[in-house]
Amino acid sequence: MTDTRTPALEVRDLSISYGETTVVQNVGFRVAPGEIVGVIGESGSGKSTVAMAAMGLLPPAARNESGQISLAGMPMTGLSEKEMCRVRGARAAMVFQEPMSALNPCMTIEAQIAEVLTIHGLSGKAAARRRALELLRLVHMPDPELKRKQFPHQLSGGQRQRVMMAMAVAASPELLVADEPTTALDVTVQAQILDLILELRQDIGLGVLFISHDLGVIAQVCDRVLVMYRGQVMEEGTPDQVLHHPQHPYTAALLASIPRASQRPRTPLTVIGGTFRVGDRLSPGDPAGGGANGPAAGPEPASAEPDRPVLLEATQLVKSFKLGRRRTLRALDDVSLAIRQGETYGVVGESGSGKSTLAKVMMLLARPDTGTIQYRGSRVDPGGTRRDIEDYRRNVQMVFQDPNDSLDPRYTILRTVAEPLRAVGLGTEETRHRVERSLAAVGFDAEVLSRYPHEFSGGQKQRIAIARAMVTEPSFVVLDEPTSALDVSVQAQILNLLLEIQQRTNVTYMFISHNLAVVRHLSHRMAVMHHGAVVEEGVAEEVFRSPQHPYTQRLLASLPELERSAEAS
Amino acid sequence: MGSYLLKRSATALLVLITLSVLVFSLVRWIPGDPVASFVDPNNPDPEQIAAIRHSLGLDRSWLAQYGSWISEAVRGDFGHSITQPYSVGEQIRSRLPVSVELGVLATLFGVLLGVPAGVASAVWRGRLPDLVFRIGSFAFLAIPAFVFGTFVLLVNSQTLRLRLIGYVPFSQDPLANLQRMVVPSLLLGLGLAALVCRYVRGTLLDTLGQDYIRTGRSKGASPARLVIRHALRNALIPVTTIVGVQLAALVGGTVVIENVFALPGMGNLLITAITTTDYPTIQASILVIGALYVAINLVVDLLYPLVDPRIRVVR
Repeated sequence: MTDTRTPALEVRDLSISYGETTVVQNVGFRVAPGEIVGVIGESGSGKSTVAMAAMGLLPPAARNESGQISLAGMPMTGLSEKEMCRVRGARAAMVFQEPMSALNPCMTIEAQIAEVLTIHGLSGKAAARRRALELLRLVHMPDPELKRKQFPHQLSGGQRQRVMMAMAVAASPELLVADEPTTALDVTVQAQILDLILELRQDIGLGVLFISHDLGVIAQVCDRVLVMYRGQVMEEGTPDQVLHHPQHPYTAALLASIPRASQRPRTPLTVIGGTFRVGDRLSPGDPAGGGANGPAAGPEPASAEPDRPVLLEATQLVKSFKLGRRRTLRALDDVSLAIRQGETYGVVGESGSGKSTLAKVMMLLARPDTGTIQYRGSRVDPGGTRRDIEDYRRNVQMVFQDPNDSLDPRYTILRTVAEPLRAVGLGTEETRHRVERSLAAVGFDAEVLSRYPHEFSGGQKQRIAIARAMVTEPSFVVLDEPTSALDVSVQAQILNLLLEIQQRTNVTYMFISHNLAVVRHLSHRMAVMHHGAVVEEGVAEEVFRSPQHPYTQRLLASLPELERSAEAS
Repeated sequence: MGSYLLKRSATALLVLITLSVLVFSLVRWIPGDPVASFVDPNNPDPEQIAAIRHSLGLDRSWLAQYGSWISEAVRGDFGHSITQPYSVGEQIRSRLPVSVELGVLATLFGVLLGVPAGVASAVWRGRLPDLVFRIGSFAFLAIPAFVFGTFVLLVNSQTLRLRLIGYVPFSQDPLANLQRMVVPSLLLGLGLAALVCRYVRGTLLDTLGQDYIRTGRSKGASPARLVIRHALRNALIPVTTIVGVQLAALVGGTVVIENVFALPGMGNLLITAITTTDYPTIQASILVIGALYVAINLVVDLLYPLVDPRIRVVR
């Protein structure tokens, strides 16, 4: 304990560029042993580049313009690849976002953990394998004797991330770099992994550099926070300072763009605008400042008045999939729900809860085993008449999670948005007119018609996907995680747009998400799904205020919440 | 795993039965009556025709004829050749080993040359080794093996004068056998190596871009270890399939190379049989080559779960 003053990681005046573009500029910070330092920022903020630089894992195209990185007092800048290999894994380790693709599919997890020790000559093969078992126990892997002989695909997402953690701490490094380590996980699993990180830093005095775009997660685990924007650190401080009393306008704007419990549901979120510079200060009384939320005033949100007519009613839907000879999965287990005209019906649940199967069945993309779906009082499930089903199909549209996947890269925007109209059978002129109108509603003018998806950003692509869904003027739109692939500031834009369209056209949404805050912000009523069944249903605000079902309570409790950390402090 | 094996074997059997039915029907769909060659066309004697039909078994139902044909074929008895003084079974038994040896040796060369070349190409992407191997593989893919074969023979006849033509059974003189087999199989193998090289380069580059390679780097694995321990196995999974199909194709007969080097292989047999309309031999050759294809692909499929653990669970 002589050198507790030596930081686990020290970055001084770091600048990195790709060609002409500077992606990290004059960044400096320290991570003390046992300290967790969070870096938040949106895509393109340079937070991952800093993480990679700390590990010496920058791609060859990146050029280190200036600055020093030292690991536990040892300078890392200028080390050869061979010398870096001795540092990586031994003194600095890394955990990545996607634990499935981050593990070698053809090696047992034991071999992958043991490898860290043998590479660095810390133990022989047999001893390394024994140590791998101990490490699996350390990260609380259930049934470690069995699991160690298994391959990554046989584990759950959370278990895979535990393997990554076991690998990371195997050689007792001074520094752990965690790049969005819980982003791909469900909230309850996320809570477990965060607990594990907190436990490990306590037990082995690990310094942690924690990269995330999720401010709730950052607030929960970090001792200090850096806010990055376009390659520069805008603000630094304790989570309480930064997230509740931000000094920099960018931080304030970022915070304001996140839907929160204190904001009235279905009111517009603040969208980040303009550019920010290091040293900008928030002027008192700034509308986006002080962690205050966007305009609280606004039209009184129409809550779920009971007199709205039911638009869509699903009764006792069952859908099962055969997994093997004997095992079947009940993806939908006796699901009944009623969606009223003009409302947003939220569906929350973790992966595997059946929410996407529900979306497919409601869209008539999958056939339920039993159960009925009624649209305006007529059956539209496979048992209904052809006319009713066709009428329903013309009135329903869908928006998907990742606009990079859901737009055909070889279609122009005109062809993309016009596609749903083919079923309607309009002339060329009328089609073009409708497409232009739909694009105008999401904020594009006619000059985008001949362009291709790759020319647009993620948020713009999602707006195009929304224009495509709205072009037929549907009465019901299924939104399947429409903002999960987007940055929070872009998410705010999309949520505002969806609200605005609903107010104008009275369209009905089924909004599927694992993000509870977003569902709370948007939904009139909601359902909570777990193992294929709806365990709780009701008016959204009431479900969040007083959850009745134990699963809902657990789900809400595991949600890292900015507000909760404020109450604690 | 047991059910996977069973399922794959059942499919393989089904393919074989379908093939045998096709081969059997083929001869019967072709116009003409085999009895015609036994009787005087100007004065056909119905009784004599009936007798011949009976002695050949042609008066029985197709199903009965197929039954006796296939049951004998399974035992290796394919009847008599129309044009050769040997039974068809004898011919195949003498020629199959030649083709198998040629095919296996060629595949061995193909893999032993192609995989390292592909790895070198991927690792030094865009640098000199990559350039050399890519141009080389293009050349070997584009120029037919017989061109190289003829060239080698020409050069040899002017210089070393090694005995490269003809066939000596391995059991008779292993050295002489290898001396004659090595050049044709190397030439065939180079074509395969070119294909394998391009495949390995592609799949390895793809694999080296995967997240788990980055994880390997973050563990401190050296570049060599990343390629050999982490990337190569994953990259070779898709290559297994093309090597299997190519091996089957090579064993099934490589007409041109067999002709250039005067090797009595399956390709040679089939071509001769076709030019002399020797139906029993054609039928037998197609059946045997088909069986080889099915068997080799079955073996490749059964090897898959050993190479890729993910297939063990997904049936």
